[in-house]
Amino acid sequence: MQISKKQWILVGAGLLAFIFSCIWFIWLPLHPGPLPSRQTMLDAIHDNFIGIEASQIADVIPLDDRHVYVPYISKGGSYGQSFWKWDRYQWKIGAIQEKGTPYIWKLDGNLSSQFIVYHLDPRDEVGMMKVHLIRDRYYQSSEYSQRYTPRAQMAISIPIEERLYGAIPLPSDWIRMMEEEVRISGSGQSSDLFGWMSASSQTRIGWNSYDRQGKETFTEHSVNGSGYGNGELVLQFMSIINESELEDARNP
Amino acid sequence: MVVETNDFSQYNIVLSIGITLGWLSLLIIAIYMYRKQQDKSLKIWVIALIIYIGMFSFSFSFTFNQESLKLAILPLGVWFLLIVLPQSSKDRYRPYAWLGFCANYLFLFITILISFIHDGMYPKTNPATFISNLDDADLIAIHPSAQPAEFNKKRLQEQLEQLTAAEMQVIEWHRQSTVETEEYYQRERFPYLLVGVKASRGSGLSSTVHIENDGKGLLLTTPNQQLYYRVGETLLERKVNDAN
Repeated sequence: MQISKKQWILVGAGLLAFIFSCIWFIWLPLHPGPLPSRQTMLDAIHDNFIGIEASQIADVIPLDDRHVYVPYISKGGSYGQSFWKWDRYQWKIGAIQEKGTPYIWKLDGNLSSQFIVYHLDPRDEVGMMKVHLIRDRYYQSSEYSQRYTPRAQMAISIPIEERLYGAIPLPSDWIRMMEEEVRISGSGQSSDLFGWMSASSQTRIGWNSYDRQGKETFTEHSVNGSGYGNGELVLQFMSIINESELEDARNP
Repeated sequence: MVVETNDFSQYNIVLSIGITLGWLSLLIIAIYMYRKQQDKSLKIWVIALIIYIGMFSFSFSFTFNQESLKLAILPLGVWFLLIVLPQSSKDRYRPYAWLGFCANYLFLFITILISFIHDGMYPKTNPATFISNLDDADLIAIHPSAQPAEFNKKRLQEQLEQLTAAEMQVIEWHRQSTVETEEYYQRERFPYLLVGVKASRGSGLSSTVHIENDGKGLLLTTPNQQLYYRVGETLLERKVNDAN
């Protein structure tokens, strides 16, 4: 009798632990609660990122049901951005940027859901920004093998009007191209010790900006900010690509 | 020994069967050894653990037939077990530890065998191995110098068996696109990428396919090599409105 009672307790405890872990690991991550209020967001930005006093939330942009992009304006007059993610039982700030320089946010590290996010400073007077996907032309020639990587250069234009911020999904063509690249470089049973794919050029994404007259400009107020991150988000910095680095400029 | 597979690449059926056979034969040998033994006091799960630890070794990696292989040299796992096991059970478990170490050679042999069978089933110099299914294929222009064009699936399928391997002049291609006086300056010789191409079923292979500006060249890139083919008829249909 004693033993069987003990066994019952054990079974019960095991079952309870199972149910709880199901809720904790499966149900909770998939069922986000309501978004925090704007005031709560402002306070959270201040608490997580010392030295920044956010005074106004510019917008709250849900990217999917568990990721939200929140551009904000600080008291010091900087145009910043914050990145929110549903974390089991609460909305958590994954990263804060003092300035709104463009980033690629790869949701859950997933190649197929990537967003270009930006929040430009109005003093930079940007009329349009362009985002480029670039892969450098590359060749390798030896006695045993010949290799050539064609150059890739694709661009999208994002008009900047009254709305200085945005979150735009990467074009599906770009994602398909990246998936193709991962397929031949990632599955790596490479015979070559030096791994020629890694040595050759890789796809990168950069941006540049134009004023309202269509002249290339430098956005000095929107770049070189500091940032905070809890290390859980995949945020990819986009470097600036000058027009002079692009090919076939006559026919963009 | 992990069978890697993801959404994009095909499942390597030869490798999976080979690895399964390897583990099966290891299991059969272990059962045989156990049944021949008089002493039945050994616990099965301990034996399994001993075999597994016995497999750890210092090994020498080398490449053979485009396959990276490991030749086990020092039986680190066996030595570790000989130190850790109590004196009384050392002799009884030792054969299993060595069995684990020998399994390295079994798997080495199987891997070499697999690579030959795989080569026979899926010849890697045949473009049809890499371009087997075009149902989901789409053409992407990856460079501004690419003129809007449509990909002619049927024509590639028809010509797949008659593709001729051509010489890759990689230095020349690179030069023509980078030297100011050349015809391809600031343009790309391979400005199209064919995405969604599937390799032969069960091969586990994958490649990317770039298409040449004139629509008559295919540049296949696999993790290990590049292949270049020319076709007789162009695979692209230029959109009329852009012919100036």
